Amino acid sequence: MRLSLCWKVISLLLATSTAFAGVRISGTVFEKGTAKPLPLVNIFVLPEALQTTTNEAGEFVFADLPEGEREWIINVTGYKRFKEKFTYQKNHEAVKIYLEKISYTKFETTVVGKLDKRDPAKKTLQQKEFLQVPGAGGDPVRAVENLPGVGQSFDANVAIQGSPPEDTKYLIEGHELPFMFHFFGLNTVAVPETVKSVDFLSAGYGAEFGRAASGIINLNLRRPRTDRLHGMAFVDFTASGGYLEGKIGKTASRNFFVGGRYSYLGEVLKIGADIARKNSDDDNVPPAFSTAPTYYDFNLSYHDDRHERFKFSFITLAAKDKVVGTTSDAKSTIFSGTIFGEFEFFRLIPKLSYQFNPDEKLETSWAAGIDWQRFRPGRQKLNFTSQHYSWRSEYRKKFTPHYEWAVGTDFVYERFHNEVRAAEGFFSGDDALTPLAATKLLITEDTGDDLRQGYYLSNRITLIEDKLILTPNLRYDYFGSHAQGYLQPRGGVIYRINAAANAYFNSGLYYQPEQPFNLSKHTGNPKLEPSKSVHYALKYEHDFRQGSEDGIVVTSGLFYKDMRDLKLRSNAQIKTKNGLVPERFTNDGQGNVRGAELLLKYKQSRAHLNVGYTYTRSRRRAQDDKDYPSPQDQTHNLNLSASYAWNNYILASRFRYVTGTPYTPILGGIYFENADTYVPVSGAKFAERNQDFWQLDVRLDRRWIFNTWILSLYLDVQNVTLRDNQVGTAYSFDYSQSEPTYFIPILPTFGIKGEF
Amino acid sequence: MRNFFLLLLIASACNAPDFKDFSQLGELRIMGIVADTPEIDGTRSDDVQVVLTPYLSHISGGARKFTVVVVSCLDPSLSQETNQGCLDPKFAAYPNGNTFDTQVLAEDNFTGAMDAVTITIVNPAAQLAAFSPQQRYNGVNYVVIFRLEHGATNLTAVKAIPISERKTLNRNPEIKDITLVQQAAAKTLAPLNVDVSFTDAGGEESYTEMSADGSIDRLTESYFITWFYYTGKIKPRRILLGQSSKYQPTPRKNTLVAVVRDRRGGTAVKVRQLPGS
Repeated sequence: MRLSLCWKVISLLLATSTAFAGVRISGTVFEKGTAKPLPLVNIFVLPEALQTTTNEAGEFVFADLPEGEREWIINVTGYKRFKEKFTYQKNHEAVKIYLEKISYTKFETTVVGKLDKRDPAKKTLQQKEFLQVPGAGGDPVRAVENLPGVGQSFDANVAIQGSPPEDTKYLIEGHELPFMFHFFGLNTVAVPETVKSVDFLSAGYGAEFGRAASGIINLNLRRPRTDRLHGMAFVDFTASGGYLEGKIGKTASRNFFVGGRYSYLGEVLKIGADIARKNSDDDNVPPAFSTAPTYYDFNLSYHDDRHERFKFSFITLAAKDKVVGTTSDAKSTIFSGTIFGEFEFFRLIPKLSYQFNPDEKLETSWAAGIDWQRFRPGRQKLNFTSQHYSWRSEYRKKFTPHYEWAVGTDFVYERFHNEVRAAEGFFSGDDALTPLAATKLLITEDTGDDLRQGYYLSNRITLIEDKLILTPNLRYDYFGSHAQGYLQPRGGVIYRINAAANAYFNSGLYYQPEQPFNLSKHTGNPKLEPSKSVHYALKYEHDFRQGSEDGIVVTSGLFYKDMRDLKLRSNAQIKTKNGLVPERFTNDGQGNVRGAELLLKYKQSRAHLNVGYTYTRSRRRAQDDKDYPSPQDQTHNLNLSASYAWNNYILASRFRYVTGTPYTPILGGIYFENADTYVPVSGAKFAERNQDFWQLDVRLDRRWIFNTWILSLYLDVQNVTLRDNQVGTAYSFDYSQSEPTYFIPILPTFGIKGEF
Repeated sequence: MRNFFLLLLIASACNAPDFKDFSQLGELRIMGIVADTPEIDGTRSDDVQVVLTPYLSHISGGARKFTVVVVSCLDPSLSQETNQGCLDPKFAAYPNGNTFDTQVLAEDNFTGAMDAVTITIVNPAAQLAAFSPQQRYNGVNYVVIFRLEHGATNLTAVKAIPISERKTLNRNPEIKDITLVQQAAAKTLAPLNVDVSFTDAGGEESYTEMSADGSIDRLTESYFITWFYYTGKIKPRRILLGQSSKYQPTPRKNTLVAVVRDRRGGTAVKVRQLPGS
């Protein structure tokens, strides 16, 4: 009996060992579409219920799998269940498994409630928010229009809380550019997919930035992904482009990014202009483009993280716009003939950072480049060239858990050369109605320097068990063009009412220097002072989500801005030691803006709803004069946007309502014989309003997920209801007739994108 | 810089309003004002007289007697803020008791030269004295404002005459004639196209301008010609010297007017009546 039992045991052991003398199978688990390796994924093989787990690189090994067909199962949260049968033998090649996410259109979570922001006056839009918002065409700066406090405009220029667009400063990586938009209002000079986020700083913004009376828009470029080589290519209605990014060498400590875009929008415009010319009468002949307007932009970066504490990166940016056309506008003796425009710049931006310890860091960056702006309408010429150098540096230290500070510099130096042979009216400001032909011919050549130095000190003091945070800041700016320095105290208070609610108060003094051509004795007034603005902003934020990703977040606030020394046009002659000269501008303007904002953000699984509302009263006046509405006095601004994601689709829409903008009515015209043109006789300043603006935009995105790449299609239609939104008013040659002018009634954009 | 490009995009894509034609005659118009001296010597301390002749058209209005007021002064600056108001206006006496009756132009389709008016510029040198060297050299405008009124019909026109210290003063361009050159007809019943141009006895002058740093630039004038017509069509209606326009006539009799300007205050006007076919 004992002997047969032994034999049975031995037989069983032999049988088992034969059964488990199997195949070695290795492989990698990736995320489908992005080909991102997935770590810590459990893989089960049936029926034996064998199991292994992927490592940090997504790799796995089954050392001893039975030969033949087996069923593999993988269940990971956020991914569709993987269940497939494999048949393999010895020397089987490496297996690649692609797990498909449940949704590729899930929105990024915004964590609110735990306040850790350096500047409460700053709102940030992440890439996913601006790429898919309807009506913005994927443009990062246009998408800012969806935020409360931002005025409506027909171009991409941003008017913040009732202030003019020229009081908004645009930066990339903290450094100024000569222009942020192609053709001064189309779209941003960077491929949207290369931008990580857009910072929007409004009333009461901190001391790190300056030289802008209203606010700041700063683009932060994305760092390259380093897991492998990635790329993207797109084609849409107006442009094509793409990028490549990845690591250099075997480790991820050195990486690169290169991208660019070329626009053929001009070909579309050329066709449109040719059709319009055939249908036009001679008083309103659109220009003929001999060379279609084009633009391109380019971005190259290198990042070096080999050292644990020391980081280095180098960014290159370039952009160019060009248009050549001819026009024979019967109303104008200025724009008849050939019109040539070429606007370009490049920037080299090296950046260094050194982390001394977790509480102490030094960051510094420079920018160097050249700007060219050449504009030749007819026989006139405006050439502006400048060399640009800027430097930003910040040292930040946390002394105790309750106190930290930052000191920094913000310098800009420009050497410019301007050649002008053009009607003086080009420099009169955008509110000038006098035809250019009626203004004098100006012939000048200017060379000069402009140094703008900025220094700042930011403090953050936490009290009462982190419930109260004080941020007293100070900024000092020296404007070389004005030969004067300006101390600007700023700061605020943050009060954490409870875990879900915060209250903020920010205030500050802001100076904005004048543009060089407004200070030139040829085109401006050398005695002009910078404009000044005092901001006050009160905000309350409540997060109703109780730690969940879904739910409601509400932000509301009040703002007030008091503005002094604003630039106004002057027709006076002033006495100088050389005799009477035209004054052209004074600092006699004053104004104020008051308003309220409300933002409600609701998220529920696949649905997203934003409601933004701004009430604004923006007034201006000259000294001892009656006040009048400013052109940015858009009393009510309501923005409703909603989106829903399902099965790799996203459907989004945006409705916007804005009170019509004020304008100065024209009562008639006076014939100015020398220029053979009529000069308008205007009524009370900004006494009339354009029609109210409202518009519905819709966008549909669809993705197809392949193993190693993703294909996206989008259709973005602006103004689906064909609403005639008034841009302004057109007048007959003698101003005796007028009619509203409307923006393009509908603007569909269709695009296709592939990324790997 | 004005937001030119965005307007360019909108203009190229949108339909234009149906406004009245700049060059079509009919309503009360002043097409040009010729000053016998388009630029005044700013070194003269004696009074200088300038004779101005406005050219008017009022075809649809017919014979009317307009009240004419002529005011002149140193330029208050032509812009919306000042509304063209002279601070120290000088009134000039207009012939016929400050009136002009368009009946005198009846045979010319109520289109032609008005009575000339003489204005006196007192001591040009003294008027310039307070200005900077650049403004004195390049010229400070002396404006003459014409206001015509008849009931609800009125018109205001401004002629600017620079007072300058240039050694060589500006002269008016001249028009010899308006020439219609007939082209061969296409095999259709459409009206014939003709080239319309003018020949000038003068020519684009060269002149000098002082920049703010005192340097002198030598430049050349650039004439532009504006056409006016009563019937038919002329395309393009504004051309540079050396270019020509096409004229599409109608069977009705027509009035053609060519006005040439040198962009510095110099003007010449030629009126031509064309019989109907």
